[in-house]
Amino acid sequence: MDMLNQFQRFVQGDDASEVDALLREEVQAAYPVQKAPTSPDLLFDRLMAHAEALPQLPSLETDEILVAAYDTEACVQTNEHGSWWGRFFRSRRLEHAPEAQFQHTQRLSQELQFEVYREYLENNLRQVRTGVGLNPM
Amino acid sequence: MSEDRDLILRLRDRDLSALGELFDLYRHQVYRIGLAIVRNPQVAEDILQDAFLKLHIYAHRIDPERPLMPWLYRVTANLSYTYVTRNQKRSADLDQVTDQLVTPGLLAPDRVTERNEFQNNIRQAIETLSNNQRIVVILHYLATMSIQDIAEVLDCPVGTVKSRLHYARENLRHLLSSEQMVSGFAHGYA
Repeated sequence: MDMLNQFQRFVQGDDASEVDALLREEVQAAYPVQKAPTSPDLLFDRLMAHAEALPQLPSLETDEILVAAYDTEACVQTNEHGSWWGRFFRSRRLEHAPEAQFQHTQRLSQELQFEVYREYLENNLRQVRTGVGLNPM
Repeated sequence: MSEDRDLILRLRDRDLSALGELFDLYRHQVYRIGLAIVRNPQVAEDILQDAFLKLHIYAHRIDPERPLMPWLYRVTANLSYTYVTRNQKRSADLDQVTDQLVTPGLLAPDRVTERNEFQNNIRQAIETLSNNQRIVVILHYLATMSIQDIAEVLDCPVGTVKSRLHYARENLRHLLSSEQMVSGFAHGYA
């Protein structure tokens, strides 16, 4: 369609649906799809920051996220896709490996503390049940 | 659609490569909407990242049977609108944004120039609208969101969106039919 005619149809048009359709077409053309900056680093960092900001308890999703992010099998799968994302994750996994180990150690340490705390509670409960530790009447 | 479904299901299973594939599929459209609203490439990039971060966080709430793009548009519109309302002052020069726009190379060189001029006028006219009208125009005509969806994103009644859209159209008509613009077109097409 001639662009001047199209323009005049919009400016002078009375048919709302026609004007609507024309305007949609023109706005779409005026803001063409463009290349978004590729910054997987930023997305990855934000994902990691989000994962690390969550409470580091064994039952929470944080661990699943970390496991998914560092799982070797998943790494092989992403590489099969051949995308930059797969290559990126492979490289970033290596880069972040010490951090992952630290997270794992931190989690184990928390689990250990929970275990000690649970033993402490159970021990106290047992003492209460058996009367040990209660002040004699 | 079925690709969306598979990727969302994989993302729900914490497969981060699915997020990467969705990012590859939709980042350009998301960036386009974000940039059109906030008019700042750096902020639009942040919004792009935030939108996909939200996708990762809320994957379990997304209906895999429905197309993902409208959901992404809603999130992007929400993030962009929040930014614009908090930063009313223009943070990017229109020229900076215009310079980054990629023109499809489908037309002959002389027609490309005419087409660019025409599109620039449309874009400039939209840019001169008030923030409220501009955002409604972008969401409705660029993101192809329904009036109802826009009302939800902007947290305002449907009637308000309709009214803004009506006045935006009238303003665009007025701006595009101004002496200078018409003579510019007439000259270009003589």
